[in-house]
Amino acid sequence: MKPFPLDELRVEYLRETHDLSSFHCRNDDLNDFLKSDAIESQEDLISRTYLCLWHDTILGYLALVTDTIEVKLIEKDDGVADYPYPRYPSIKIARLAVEEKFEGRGIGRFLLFWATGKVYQLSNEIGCRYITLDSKQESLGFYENFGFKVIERYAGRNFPPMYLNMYPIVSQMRQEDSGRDA
Amino acid sequence: MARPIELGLILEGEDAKEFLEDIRNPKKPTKEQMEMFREAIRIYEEHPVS
Repeated sequence: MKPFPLDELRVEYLRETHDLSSFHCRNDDLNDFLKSDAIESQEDLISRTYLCLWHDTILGYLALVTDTIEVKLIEKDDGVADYPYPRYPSIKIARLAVEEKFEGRGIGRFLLFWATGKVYQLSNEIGCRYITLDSKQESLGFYENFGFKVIERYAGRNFPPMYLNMYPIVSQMRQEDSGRDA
Repeated sequence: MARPIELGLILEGEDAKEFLEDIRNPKKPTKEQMEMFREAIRIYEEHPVS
């Protein structure tokens, strides 16, 4: 099946007026979150949910929250000298789901790219170096291709956590752009 | 009710060492990663939230 043309996709904040009844992805937990928890979580200022639409059809959604990556104290004999911060700021893609009927048409990719672009823009306003997420096992390769790293300790979990360090990418991008401008 | 959103990723042992090593000596991103990141920025800019 052909991917949706990107210029026909729209992103909207989740609102109470959206009809979510027909949305169905393969994961019950992701369906439950959208239909039962997302609005309340948004009102509580815990997460913010964004819908991807084509005309009036919901193709998928994602939810973002602020997060941290904490590095637990390392023993002296681990050979790691002091490090500057025990915690690092991140934005978490807390949920990402695609309507089952439209799988394989680029919506998951679109949502991941859109979220990454958003986090990058946020990082220009507030300190944020990492993107974190909990991946479905079957999506690990999808995120790894993008540069996300799985946490080995939790790799066997249902939803193993992953992170992407934006710093080397942003740094390289700035170098390339300044070289182009010079 | 769906499983709660888990916040606060904690790294220990080898994961922590690898994370810190990546801070000290970040790996140069691949050409593919750079292209994907630039595309991500473009997609976000072309799809403002309404």
